[in-house]
Amino acid sequence: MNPLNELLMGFAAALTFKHLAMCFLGVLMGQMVGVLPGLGPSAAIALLLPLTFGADPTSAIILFAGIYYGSQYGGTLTSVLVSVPGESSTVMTTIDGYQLALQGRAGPALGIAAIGSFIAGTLGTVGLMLLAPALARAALAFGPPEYFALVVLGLTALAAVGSSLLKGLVTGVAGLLIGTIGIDPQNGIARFDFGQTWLLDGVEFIVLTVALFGVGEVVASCVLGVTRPVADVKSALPTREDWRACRMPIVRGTGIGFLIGVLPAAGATMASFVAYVVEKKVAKDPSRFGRGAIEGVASPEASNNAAAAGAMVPMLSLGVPGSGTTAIILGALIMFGIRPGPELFAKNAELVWAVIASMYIGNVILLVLNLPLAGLFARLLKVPYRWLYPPILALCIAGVYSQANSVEDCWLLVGFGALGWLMKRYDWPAAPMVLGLVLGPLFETALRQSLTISHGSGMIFVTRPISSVLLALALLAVTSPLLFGKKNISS
Amino acid sequence: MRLLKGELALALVFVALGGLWIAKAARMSLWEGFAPDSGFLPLVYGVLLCALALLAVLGRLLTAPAAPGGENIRKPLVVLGALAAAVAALPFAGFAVSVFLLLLFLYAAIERLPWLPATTVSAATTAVLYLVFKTWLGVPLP
Repeated sequence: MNPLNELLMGFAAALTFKHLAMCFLGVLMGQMVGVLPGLGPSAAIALLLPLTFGADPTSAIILFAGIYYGSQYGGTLTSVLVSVPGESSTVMTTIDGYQLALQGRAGPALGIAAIGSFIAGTLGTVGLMLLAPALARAALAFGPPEYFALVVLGLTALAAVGSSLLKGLVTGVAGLLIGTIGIDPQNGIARFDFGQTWLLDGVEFIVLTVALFGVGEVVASCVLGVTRPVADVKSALPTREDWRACRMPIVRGTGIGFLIGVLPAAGATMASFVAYVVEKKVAKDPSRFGRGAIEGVASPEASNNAAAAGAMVPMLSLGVPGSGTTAIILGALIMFGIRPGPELFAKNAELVWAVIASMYIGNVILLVLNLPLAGLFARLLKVPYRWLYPPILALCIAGVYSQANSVEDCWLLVGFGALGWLMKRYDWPAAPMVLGLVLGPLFETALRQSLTISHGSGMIFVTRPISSVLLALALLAVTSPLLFGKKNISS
Repeated sequence: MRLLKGELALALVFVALGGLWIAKAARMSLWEGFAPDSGFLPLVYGVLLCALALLAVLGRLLTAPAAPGGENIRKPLVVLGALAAAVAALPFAGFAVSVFLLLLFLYAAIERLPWLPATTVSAATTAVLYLVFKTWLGVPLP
């Protein structure tokens, strides 16, 4: 079947009432969590995991994907209206967006961001549709050594996304280590259960994710002060001049964002940074940037949305997440018994194409929601955080308990929640820990199978071409921040 | 200097975790035939975690010391304590009472919100969660 037929099949599934409702709910929630303080898309997906456990996987992944790309739209509102980026990927939007708001042009800034995001999100989804299946087909020949190398690449690349590679590696290894608790899948021996029978099942993905992203973020954010003054939004429709000035920046931002999003170690934040810098370089009058240039909003916004679609390429085709949020979506796929990676397009084609089709639909919904309703969403910024966080904590308890009807899991929630708070406080990334826990069993099995095939020789990982290329990429992900001074770029 | 001490303590938690894994994995079988056995990867993870976390400690000590910490850590600790108390009360008081008291404590005592809205929102949130998890999803909540 060619991609067009498969996409039509995906639309047939995505346009059913159930999936359409999930898509709408996902983008709406994404928009809201992007706006609300102290709650990001990772935390929102983590909190919803228990509710979707046992549900239709296609509906759940459509919902999660909607939250992911919907939050990119929502983060823009806070950047423009209160000069506080809702997401790290909207930091660059703050520079000119807030200046435009001070000049009474918050509406056109939000409007052009919504239009740019729509164009970029749609073109990014086209890129995803064309690139991901081809990449997955090329990767179908993967054996245990290649899977081993893929997990190494996934963990190192995700570690390299955060502010510190070393901290990312520590939390990634800690996740792998926590993943060894319970029964050894190979020989049935109990490990690291400390004499507690409830630990024989290991630490559940949902428990760790809800603890780190739900409790950890809430406890870290509960000290947030009073709400800041919010700029007024009148009409969100940009003028003809605005549109003329932003056409090419949106196209450039889309290209840059998609390409950077596909790279496992990059992500939407770096994409928006590069897009802003490129726009400033090619501008006739670069001095306008930083003082309210609308191109300074259009290009990074297009870029971060295209990067969100780009990050789905390695996640769906190789099982390598390009960002923290896609790492959690990947964990959710495994929770539903679906193995992400090259076989996903062959074995779960209906799910993948329904999700891709829902991304087209979701982008249309977001455009419709954002142009007339930007002012309404802006009011969410006035909700004080002190009203929001207690129900989130209550939801964490209910969600974790419901997994195995276990109070012990709730104690793990408290323990890992405290760890998540400290990690958030000192900027230690939590996503690599979740990914380590999720990929740990696959990593161990692939290592054992590879070494059995090679009669104990580790050379199998470097003599097989694909495996050696993947390991070289992992090495590049680890060394590139040192070689190219990524820390300086992010600061 | 509170920030520096806190981050060092976090790094040392990871070092201790790695040390615990090394100690336990060393007593397990490491290799069987051509492939690693149950203790091998946990041992490798333990060594890696210790080494990387110690490197992080070293890196933190070598960078410029943090500004004197004036952040409010009392409130996060009280919130965590309240969460732990609610979990401890689950088997005895049940889900509805524990969660309602947790919400009421956070709203009324920590956030100092007026009693009437605090009680109303706490009761409504507890009722919604109870209905969703117990009635809709069929979870046998305590």
